[in-house]
Amino acid sequence: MTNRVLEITNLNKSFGAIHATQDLSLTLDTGEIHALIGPNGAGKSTLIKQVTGYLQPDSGDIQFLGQSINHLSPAHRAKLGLAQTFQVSSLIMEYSCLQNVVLVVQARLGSSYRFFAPIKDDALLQHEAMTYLQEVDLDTRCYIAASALSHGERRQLEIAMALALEPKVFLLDEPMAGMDPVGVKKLIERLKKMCEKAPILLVEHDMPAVFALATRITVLDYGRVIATGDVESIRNNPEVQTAYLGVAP
Amino acid sequence: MSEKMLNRALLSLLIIAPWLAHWIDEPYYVSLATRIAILALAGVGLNIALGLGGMVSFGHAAFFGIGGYVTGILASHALNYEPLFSGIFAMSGSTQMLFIWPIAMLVGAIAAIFIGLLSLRTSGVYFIMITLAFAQMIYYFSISWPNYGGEDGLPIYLRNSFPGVNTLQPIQFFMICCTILLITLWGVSRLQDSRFGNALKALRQNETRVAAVGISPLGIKLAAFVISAMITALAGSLFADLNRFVSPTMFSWHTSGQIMIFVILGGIGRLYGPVAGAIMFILCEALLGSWTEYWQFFLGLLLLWVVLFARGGLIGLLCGDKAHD
Repeated sequence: MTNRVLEITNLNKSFGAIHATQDLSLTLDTGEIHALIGPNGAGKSTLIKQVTGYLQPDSGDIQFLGQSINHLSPAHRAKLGLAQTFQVSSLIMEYSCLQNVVLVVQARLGSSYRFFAPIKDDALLQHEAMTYLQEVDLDTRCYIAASALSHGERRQLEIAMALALEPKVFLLDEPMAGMDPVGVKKLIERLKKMCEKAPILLVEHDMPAVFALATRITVLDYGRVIATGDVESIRNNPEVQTAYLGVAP
Repeated sequence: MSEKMLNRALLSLLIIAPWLAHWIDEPYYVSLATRIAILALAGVGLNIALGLGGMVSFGHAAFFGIGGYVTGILASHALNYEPLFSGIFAMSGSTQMLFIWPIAMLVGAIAAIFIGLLSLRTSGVYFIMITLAFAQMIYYFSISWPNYGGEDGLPIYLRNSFPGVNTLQPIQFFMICCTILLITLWGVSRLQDSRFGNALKALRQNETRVAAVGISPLGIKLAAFVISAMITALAGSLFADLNRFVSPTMFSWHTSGQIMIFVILGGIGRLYGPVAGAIMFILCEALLGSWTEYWQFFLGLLLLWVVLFARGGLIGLLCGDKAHD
């Protein structure tokens, strides 16, 4: 049990008649990349939102590092070490890349209730933010406003912001969405390095990437887990093949 | 034109003009400049909530009026030699500005915590309506509270005093107001570049993201709302002393709207926006008002033009978009 980071048990969530999450249980251990796959509408994003705190489950429990986080706010969960990237890039658009990352470092390194000292004079803050931009190769673009970045660069900045939180777990919601093949290749290498820092719960549609990265795969359909296991067993699971991989039964 | 230069020009204008008026013995223009300084201060307060935090408060008249009434009530008790309240400990009124200001700001802050906690759970149109509703509640309360003049308002027979200054002399009172405005502008310039300012400006743009990095949005917004209210309450206190009179009008939604107009005319989120806005507003009122009774029609046209074609207000028009740093 010592290396269990995230444990979801019997989670349920309905929107009216739609049962978006049904008795869902899932675990995430240190050092692993646990991929979550399934067709559109399978309930992947709904699950992520319940883990990050933007949705309240109807029943069930989410344990993070042995502590139930069901009733914590999204900000509180992030503070505990839950970092997420968004399916659609969610950045502070008027801020430069550096300022975006500075905000994260500021949140992690202490209080945001300092009213007087100019942030620009805080060398530690600026320097530390810069190292995360270097990690995703955005340091040369550090003074560009987020709104002026290309789609791929925005995805990179999302990753940098997740890294800057120095989290205990990464929740990545389709980080490869819309990236070109070169970008995907680079990101695969990056994620491999990231999972040495903290385990990753990865929602992704890019199957080659998932098969290259995942230590474990869970397949969702209609809010239920239809299969879970290592890459080989999922690839060969007939139920998964019909539901998702597009192989005729 | 760079924004810094324009800011300096605005300040110089605001400081030099009343001195000229003073030397040629035209006290009316000195009091006009004092009004500008005070209303600009109220705008600087609102600008923290509206410009930096994106909280469209349509109820800042509540804080402006609270500042005014605290001043009026304290002064009237002091002049009538009645204790404000007595019980376990008694408190008497005061005519010392240095005592009145902190009390005005404190009461403003308490009201802002209460109003903020209830209204910051909403956003958009609902936030506008809730803040308006609170201000209107206080407005009607002030009308129906006979102890302090009710609908007729409450006169302050003597302008409150400040050590070493003859506050009854217009230019000296102007200098007090102007100094407070300058100190506040300096303070806000520090605030907007601080960690707090960083989080607040980020919140305006993307609340979900700010929460996702571990900063609780409600706390930051509430703190900004309270600081904003305190500055506006201080302006209300000075406004009461300027007119030596407080009335429920200070609480009315017209006042909220006026303060918002200063911010919009000058440029939302610009440090000196409310200064530029208040100068434009009061000059419109004074110049057009002496020419036609319907000067507000032309103010309306100006406002319409700014909203449609010059979103950054006067400062945005002259200096262009805000620089990224």
